[in-house]
Amino acid sequence: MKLISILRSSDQVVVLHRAGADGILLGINDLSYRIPTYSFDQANSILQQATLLNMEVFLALNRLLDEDEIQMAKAFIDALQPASFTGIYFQDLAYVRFCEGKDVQLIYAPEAIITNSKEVEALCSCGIDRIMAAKELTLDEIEKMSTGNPQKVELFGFGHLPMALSRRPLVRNYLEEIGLDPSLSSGTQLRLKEEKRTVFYPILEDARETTLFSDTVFSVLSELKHLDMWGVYSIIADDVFVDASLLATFIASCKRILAGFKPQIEEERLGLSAPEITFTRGYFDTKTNLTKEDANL
Amino acid sequence: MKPELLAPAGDLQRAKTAIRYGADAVYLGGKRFSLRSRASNFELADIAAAVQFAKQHHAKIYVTVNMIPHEDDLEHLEEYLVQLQSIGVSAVIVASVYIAILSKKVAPLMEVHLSTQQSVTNSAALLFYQKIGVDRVVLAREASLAHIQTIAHRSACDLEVFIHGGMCVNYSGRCTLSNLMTLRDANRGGCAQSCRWKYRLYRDKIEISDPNRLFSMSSKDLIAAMEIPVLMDIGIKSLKIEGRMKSAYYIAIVVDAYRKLIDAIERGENEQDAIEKCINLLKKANNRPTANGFFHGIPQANHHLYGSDGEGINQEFVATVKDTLPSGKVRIILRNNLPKGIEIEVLSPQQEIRCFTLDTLERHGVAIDTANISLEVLEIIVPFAVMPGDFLRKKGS
Repeated sequence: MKLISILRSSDQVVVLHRAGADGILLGINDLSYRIPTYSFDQANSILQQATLLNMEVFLALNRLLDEDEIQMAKAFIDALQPASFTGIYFQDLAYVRFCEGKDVQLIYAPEAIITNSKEVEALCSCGIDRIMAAKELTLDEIEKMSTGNPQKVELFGFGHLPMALSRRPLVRNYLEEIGLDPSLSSGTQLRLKEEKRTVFYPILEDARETTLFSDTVFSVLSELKHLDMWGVYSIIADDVFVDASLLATFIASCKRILAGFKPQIEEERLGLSAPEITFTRGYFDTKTNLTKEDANL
Repeated sequence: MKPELLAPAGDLQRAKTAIRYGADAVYLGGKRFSLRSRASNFELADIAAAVQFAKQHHAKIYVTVNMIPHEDDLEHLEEYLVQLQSIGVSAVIVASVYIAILSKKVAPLMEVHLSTQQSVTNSAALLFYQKIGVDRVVLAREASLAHIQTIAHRSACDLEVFIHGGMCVNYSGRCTLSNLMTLRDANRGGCAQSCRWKYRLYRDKIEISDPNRLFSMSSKDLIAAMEIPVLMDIGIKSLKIEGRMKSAYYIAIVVDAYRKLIDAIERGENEQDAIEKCINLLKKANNRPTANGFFHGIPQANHHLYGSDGEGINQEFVATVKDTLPSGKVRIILRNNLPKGIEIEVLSPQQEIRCFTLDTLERHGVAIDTANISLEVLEIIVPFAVMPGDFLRKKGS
């Protein structure tokens, strides 16, 4: 199983390499959201640095493209040199066409809508190399999906789970409505609290999109061995809203678990390095198919 | 090319209402595989009845098979698709690449329409779906009018565009807020509409929201009366009304309004007059506050609902016509408080609104002054012919 980390800053390449990351994931200006973005030149510079360390570099071209952006996206793909970036993560199927004949792996990562093994099979028959599964899957569902499609499934493995994506500037609009400076919408300091609840949901507004995240931090550590055994190709780790050093700690723990160390010890190690954070197993043990009555609203 | 007017229906009665009031096609969901399956009243026999009724009126029935299925949800899907084809369903609306491919394989006589849950916003993505056999794509609500025009120009695939009704504030299919907050799966028909709740906004642990006007992601509903001429000019194949959970009265008003608008434009009548008339008719539908979505750019603050949710109970709709007795009296099914002596408007398919004063109101032949028991059958006198299913409402101010 490969361990891939989102790259928060270029000086993290070496840190992540030392921790054991097999690859890094970069955003590209205008084509990515939610994660740090770089210019084409900066990305190529990072590529050179990572290649020397024998790390793979993936691009997260994860925006859904407006019609007037498809030429820009296609031009970017056309400019990619052969045997440079290993692959792209995308959620707009336009990239399947743009990448026809290109030597680049295609990982379809539409955030929420890949929820069964048949869907994986169907997508992989259409020129897609791998898919990133939805987050709201139980462990049983992940097992069926990945054993049915060995080395075709990737999973989000660490971080606040992105739960909703809007094309609207939700925070800026609200700040304008109540007469506050819209520039307060930038950065990673914003949280929402539903009026009847006590937990805080991080919200991140980019130039074009707004993403709402889970209140807790998901960690895959306890089940990493199973996922590896079931043929999950890789896991992605993201440090948005948490300390960047935590990412290296998580990656190093993954590496040790895959080498045979006990998951419980690594979970404790992770917990001790960030005692203020409650790590969760996400939806591994929880189905999200309650009825209105079941949910007791 | 005259576009298809596509209306929603939550049960057979609403399907018939939509068709009677001018829908060219109706979409509905069965009890399985649909995003509104838990609210659906459509057994296979009901779908078959809807197909028969639609055929008699030269209309079509589309069935939503648009849930994002988990592993255990796929059982009997194949036979369901075959059954839908055998009863004469014209198309399935799907949100899954697997189901699209499967439907084409096992039920090739049905068209496959790609749901807006797949969030298609450009012509290059559309080509992907076309390649796997999709016949029509329901564009994402995030596409602007200018983008829709270019997409239509660049693609040979039939396009469907939402013109009226509720708006997801997030990309459809990419929102699992409901899963997060209530363990109800938005992509399997359980959406709790958590986006419409109220939230406090904090920055660096300090609340910056206005306590009297809390943060919400609630979007105003969509209205596209003003955009219909352009959408028709572009050659959009189908204009879609949202709202499988809406009442028959709502469906009648909205379908009627857009039917008249489309027909007026088609006849070359004055567009502005027709649009104004359409908007006035739509005001009776008791929508939440409306805006024009993404048609003219990214929605600003005035496209959101922060203060109240804007939903109200329609007090103007008072009854539906049940039938006409040999005596000439009309039997009605009461829906709201109805006093004698008020001015009543009659909403009938393909007709202008007609008015009369309610001089006679009877219960089992006995005159009464007022009625207020919902679903009670009463008799009234109407000074012109009405048909079963016509709607009566209090004349607005």
